Amino acid sequence: MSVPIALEYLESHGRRLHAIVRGETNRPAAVMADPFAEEKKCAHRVMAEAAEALAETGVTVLRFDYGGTGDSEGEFRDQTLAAWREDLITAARWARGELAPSALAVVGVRLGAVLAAQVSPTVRPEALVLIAPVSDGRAYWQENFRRQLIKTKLTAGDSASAKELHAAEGEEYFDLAGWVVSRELRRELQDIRLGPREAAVVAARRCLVLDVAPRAEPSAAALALAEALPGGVAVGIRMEPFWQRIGLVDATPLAQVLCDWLPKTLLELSSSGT
Amino acid sequence: MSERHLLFQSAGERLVGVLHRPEGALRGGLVFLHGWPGYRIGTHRMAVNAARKACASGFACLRFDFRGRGDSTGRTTSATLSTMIEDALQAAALLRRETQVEALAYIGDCSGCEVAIGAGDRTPGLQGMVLWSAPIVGGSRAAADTAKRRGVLAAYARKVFSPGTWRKLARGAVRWDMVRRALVRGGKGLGEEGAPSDAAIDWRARFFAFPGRQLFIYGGAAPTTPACIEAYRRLCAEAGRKFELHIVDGANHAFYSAIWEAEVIAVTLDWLERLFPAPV
Repeated sequence: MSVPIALEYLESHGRRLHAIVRGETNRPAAVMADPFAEEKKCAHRVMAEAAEALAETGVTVLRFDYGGTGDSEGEFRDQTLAAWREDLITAARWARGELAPSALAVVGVRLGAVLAAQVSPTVRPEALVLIAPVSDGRAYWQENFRRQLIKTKLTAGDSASAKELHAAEGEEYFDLAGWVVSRELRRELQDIRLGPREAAVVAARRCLVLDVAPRAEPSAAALALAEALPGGVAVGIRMEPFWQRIGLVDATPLAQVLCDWLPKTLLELSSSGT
Repeated sequence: MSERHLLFQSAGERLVGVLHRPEGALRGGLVFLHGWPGYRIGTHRMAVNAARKACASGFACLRFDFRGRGDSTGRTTSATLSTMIEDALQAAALLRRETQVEALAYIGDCSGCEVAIGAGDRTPGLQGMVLWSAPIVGGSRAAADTAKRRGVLAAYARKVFSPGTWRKLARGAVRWDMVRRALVRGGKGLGEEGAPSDAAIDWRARFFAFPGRQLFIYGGAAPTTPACIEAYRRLCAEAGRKFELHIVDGANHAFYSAIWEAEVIAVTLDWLERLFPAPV
């Protein structure tokens, strides 16, 4: 089974972004915001399947690649979070204009969840879905750095030291497993905070925080974040961290939760007026 | 140069691809075949970077998602090497149709190399294949599997000594299901052990029947590299074919570094440019 699909190009500040629309116009719609670097590649199939499942329920889904990622124009090394926020705003505006949705959601994964929350005062989506959002940028960068260190040690043996890698981290560009990350992007990543305090500026009528973890109950942090968000609710999904898995992952648990919550919520918000 | 997304059919499934088309006369056409769980951009976007450079050098390129992968339709668990070979043949035919290019080459990445070998003898116009980290086909994989398993064990041994692991243990965040699967399956992901339909493929016959040239590129630090090189050196000798090999010093299986990636792409393009001289 497959839904109608359209391949689109969006212009964002002189860059051509690749986008895929699943579904039809004049329906509730969702724009998906992807995670960072290799996490985006690992999450791609799961999010494509989730988009297909949502489209089958009647929610039209726009997926796009930020500049310098996926099939979009640009080099990864030239990217900043500021540029990606602009790309997300462009995608949401395109969706509002071209898809004529009765209500719009932004669904962000990891870094994409942070960007979705940050652009919400501009985009003003009716609903916001934050999937395993990055809450602490410094810890997030450290996690990426540690993973890089393990990878380096596995390849080069103990001749590769953490000190050398830290020295490389001080350079203008840092090679994060093939993704060249500029100092500016690293700084922006480390500045990320998404907790109850930052939730105060989020503009959406309903919010869903999805905690993807070994257990089905949402964590205390997810509950606290949801409580601070407008119309917020937290749900736990017992699922592998699909953004870290190189192999294939069954998308069903995520697709089910999204299909249970998003169509119903967007329909309610459509009928109650925006 | 232009880049255009397109949809095409393979066995009733809708596949998504990207066509890179250079200005002027074409040197040849390249079809990119991604690995088992990946999609058309490749690991760390390597396929995009390679295709853009190749296009600048006069090659028409097609990157696409196999069925059940990326944005293509089809159940994720239904894809096999046999279905991937069918899809590769459709992609090659599409590239010829769209660009009128006669001479083709495959660029395979990991399992994409198995697809290239499986499709090689039945792809019209195919003159070459560049194989990035090709797993062993047409021979025993026992040595490579053992090396891979050893690599997984080494990775987990390192994690045991990482403070992060102990922090995860303390807060109950260790994914025991993932650890168990990695250790039991020796690093193989879902479906990677091979489908019954793939067992019917006579890999050796297809390898021998391919009349063109092959370039093998491996990471020098990947645990499976020595076993793979040995297997393909022997297979090429049996086929009476020159064994063309490039090793990226110190690199791992997926060339996880911008420097290694650049070397792989440069060596690939240099080889392809010699195989397909620029039209006069």
